[in-house]
Amino acid sequence: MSARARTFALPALAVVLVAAVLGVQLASGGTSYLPAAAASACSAQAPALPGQDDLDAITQTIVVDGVRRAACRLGTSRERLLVALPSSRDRAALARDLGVTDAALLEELRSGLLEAVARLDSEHALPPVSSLLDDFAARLGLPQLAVSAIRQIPADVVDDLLPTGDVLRRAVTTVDLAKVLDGIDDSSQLERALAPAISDAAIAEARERLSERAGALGGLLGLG
Amino acid sequence: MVIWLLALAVGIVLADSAIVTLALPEVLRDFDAQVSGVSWVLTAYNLVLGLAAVPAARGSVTTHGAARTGVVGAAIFAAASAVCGVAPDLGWLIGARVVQALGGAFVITAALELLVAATGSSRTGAARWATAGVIGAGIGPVVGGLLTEALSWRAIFLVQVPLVLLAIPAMRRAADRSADPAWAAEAETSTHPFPLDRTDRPRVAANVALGLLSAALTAALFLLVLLLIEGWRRTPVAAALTVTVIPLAAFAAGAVARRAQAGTQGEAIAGAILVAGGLTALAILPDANLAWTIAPQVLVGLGLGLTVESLTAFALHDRFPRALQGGWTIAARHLGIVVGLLILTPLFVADLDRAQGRAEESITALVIDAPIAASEKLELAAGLQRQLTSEAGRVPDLAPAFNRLDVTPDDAAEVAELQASMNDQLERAATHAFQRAFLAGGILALLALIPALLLRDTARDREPPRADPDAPTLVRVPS
Repeated sequence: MSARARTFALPALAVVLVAAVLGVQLASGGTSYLPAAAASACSAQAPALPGQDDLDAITQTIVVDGVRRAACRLGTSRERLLVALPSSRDRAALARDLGVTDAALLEELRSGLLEAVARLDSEHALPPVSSLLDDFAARLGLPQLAVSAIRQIPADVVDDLLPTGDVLRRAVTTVDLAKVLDGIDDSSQLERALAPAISDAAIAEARERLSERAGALGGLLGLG
Repeated sequence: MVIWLLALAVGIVLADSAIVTLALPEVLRDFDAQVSGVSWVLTAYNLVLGLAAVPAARGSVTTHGAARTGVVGAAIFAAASAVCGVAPDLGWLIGARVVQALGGAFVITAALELLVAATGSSRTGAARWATAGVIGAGIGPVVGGLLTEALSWRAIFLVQVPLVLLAIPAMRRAADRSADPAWAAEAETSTHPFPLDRTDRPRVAANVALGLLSAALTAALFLLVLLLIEGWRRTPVAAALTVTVIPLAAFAAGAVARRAQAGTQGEAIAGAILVAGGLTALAILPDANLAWTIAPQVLVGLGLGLTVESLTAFALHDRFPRALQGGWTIAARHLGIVVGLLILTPLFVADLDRAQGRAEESITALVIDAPIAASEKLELAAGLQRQLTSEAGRVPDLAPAFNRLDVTPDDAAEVAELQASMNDQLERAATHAFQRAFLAGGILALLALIPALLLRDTARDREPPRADPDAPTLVRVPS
């Protein structure tokens, strides 16, 4: 073999070796070993409500769907929004990135949650309040006497006075979202922030419906 | 024994350029530092060694001058190694590494002249010097990893102290031997002194190729080790055993080179292609199984074995003063390593940061969609957030978040599957974070093809090393 041929035989062998290794790796998916990309919030499917009367499951479905809807409107992924929500600093940074104010970001979140409640309500997927009564009572820390008293009321009357969708809509509309988010890392603090909002919403809803009924009854009796 | 001890000193000084690579994650944790800060433990050493090699070589152009500077250098190197071993913080460690590199520059350039004196042949002495350097640089990270796992990263520096001090009597012995008329009569060196006023220009193409390949090889060693330990969370021992493939392949390359007789240019071109190919292969790993790193490492190791020794020998061949020419090769290699670190570290740190955000999102998606109770999700999310915050800037270990979780028996299987999926996402994100840096290393190796194509072999480059009666070598200086 000539000196020149010897000089280039070794590089040729190197090229063959490199091609073989790269070929095997490419054929084995070398370019697709990547972390999963966040799905577009707008195209992601709305989560279905598990078929059980579980307050946790309802809350989770509403939050996941609400965050997805808010993320879609804000033009980000639900994952990025969810990661940023618990910290006021991360929220502010995300709001800056998205070109909105911190307050506007929270309002988008509220709108998303309201839409999520409306969807479940329109699909008749929300269980009646009477089936959630024990769970509600435990979470709201209602006195045993009050729970016993409510149980004396027929279930259809309770469900008529406190439609689940309306109570949740009212709670989402009035709750201080910033305060809830700041306590999201601590489940007891989270419940402390959520419980008054839900109980206030339930009381306001019942009062409003009772006064509507009283007004209608007064009208019927010619007292209005 | 004198030759072995001198070669050992060369090996240790060059091993130090990368010996702490596997220990960096532990240094990172010990000093609670950032990757960019800790990378200066490597950068400072290589920068100073690269800058000091040529000036240090000026004191080693004669055998007795080499013995004097070598002894002083070994003492400085040993003292600075001891300080590295007990450094109280990162600043002390980097400072001691600077002094260590200064001492190392004297040792390495003096050792070339002393090895020539000890072997009695310029060609054999230079070959031993180059080989010791390649072996040292190749096995340095492995030894460092094993010491880190068995004892601590501090042990890496402390064990060097007695080993380098052993070279001091060997240096004196080599100088004394060259002054012995009986030995001189046998050695070819005695009959062909070179004129003191002769200073050849360094071989630029060979040195530039060495520099670019060293920059690329840094990518291979530094990034691969970080990927294995920090990205894939393997133990230093597992990482050390894995990267053993590179020195083993480099060793095997010697046999390939002898058989192929391709000459320096052929070996340099083939080596650059192999290193570039190996780094590209590391950038497209199909998963986080250690086995996938073996073939790319074989390519890198073969490239290392084909290029560094042969280019170093080429750069030294027929060029005087030998120590100064050796200084140029050391300067080229270590400044090349610095360039590699300066280019690759910010690239990979930025990518790691981006990857962390992406991993955080994919982990969040997994938590959101996991079929477990909302209260467990919330608890897990809080635990994961704590892990991500406490390990900011690094790939987090998610196990503590799962260990703290109070899981119902119904959810145990789902939670275990969730943890496996999250770890998979983290490994994917970490592997992806190193992709651009490995590719940048591959480009540096490809750039080495330019100077490699400019190399012109002489017929003698194709011959195996042998005693060379015509080679001018030592200046005899009376002791």
